[in-house]
Amino acid sequence: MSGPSESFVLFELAGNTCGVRSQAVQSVEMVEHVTAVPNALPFVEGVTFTRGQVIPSVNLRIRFGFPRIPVDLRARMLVVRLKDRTAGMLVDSAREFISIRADAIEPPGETVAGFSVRCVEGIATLANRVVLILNLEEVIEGV
Amino acid sequence: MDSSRVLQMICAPGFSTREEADLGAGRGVGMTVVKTTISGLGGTLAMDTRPGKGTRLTIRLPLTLAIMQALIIYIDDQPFVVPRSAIHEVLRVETDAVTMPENNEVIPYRAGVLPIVYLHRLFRMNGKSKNSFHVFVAGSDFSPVGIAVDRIAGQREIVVRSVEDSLVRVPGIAGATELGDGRPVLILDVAAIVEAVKS
Repeated sequence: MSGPSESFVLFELAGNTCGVRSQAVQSVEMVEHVTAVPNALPFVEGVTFTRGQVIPSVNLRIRFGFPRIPVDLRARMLVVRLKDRTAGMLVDSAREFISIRADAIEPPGETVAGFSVRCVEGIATLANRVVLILNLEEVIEGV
Repeated sequence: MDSSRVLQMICAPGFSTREEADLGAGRGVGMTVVKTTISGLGGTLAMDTRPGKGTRLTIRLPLTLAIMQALIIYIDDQPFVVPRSAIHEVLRVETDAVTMPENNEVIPYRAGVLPIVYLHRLFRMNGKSKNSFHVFVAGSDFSPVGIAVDRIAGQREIVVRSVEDSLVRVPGIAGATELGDGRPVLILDVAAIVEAVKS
């Protein structure tokens, strides 16, 4: 089989595998200093520096209502770009970069366990697992 | 005459297109001040003009302009910085000195009283309860406000970086800086805090 495909950065979040288009990912970083911002939304972990720029860091666990876990060595911050915004997304781990054929991605059903449906753009079924393709604009902006 | 020559002329001391000067304008001073101020800051002024269409004046300032003196303060072990220019005075206040007439916490200040706002309450953080704390006096000379923090740790020069994203643009925070360890430190927007207290 063949067909157009796109590359995705995969990451783990509370036992789920999620993917975001690699084009939108500027970098994947170790989680370093994040400074809390008073009176910001609960899922906004704070601000952090990346390439000399101050960006918000969003804890995706809190964003999707999963329990908070301590930051460990596997934790990563995905720095993503959306239009003219840059934001960091704190995830449990991120270590894969794969190509997914467009015809392997299906629209999400009514509910996707634990995830706000609007934030899930599609579901890719790979050989032995399911990848939730996230709609970054909804994740970062659709609050 | 090209626009850079025109600009030079406009900025020359004493140059005016007015026949007569009044109290506020016409003496050929304004643009001279603009030019010398910008030059003094190491910046440039440029002009692009199209007859009948309009004129665009472009002011370019070096990034180092965003360097300012700031006080480093702590609220519950988190450092923040406060632009030095926004602070009139720093006081050390004994907790006993705070009184509460009509639900407003005040301390004696000069001939009158100074309303106090606790930054940790505004920021929903845990303050450290101690026998004394620091207050910096801000606001106008006529109605100053005392902003209470856990402690003031020192003064230094900071480079201001903007915080633009709407997720982290919150009242009371003007930007961020770093103090050398790669950790962002938030800059307080004193005017907004004073405003929040008054309303």
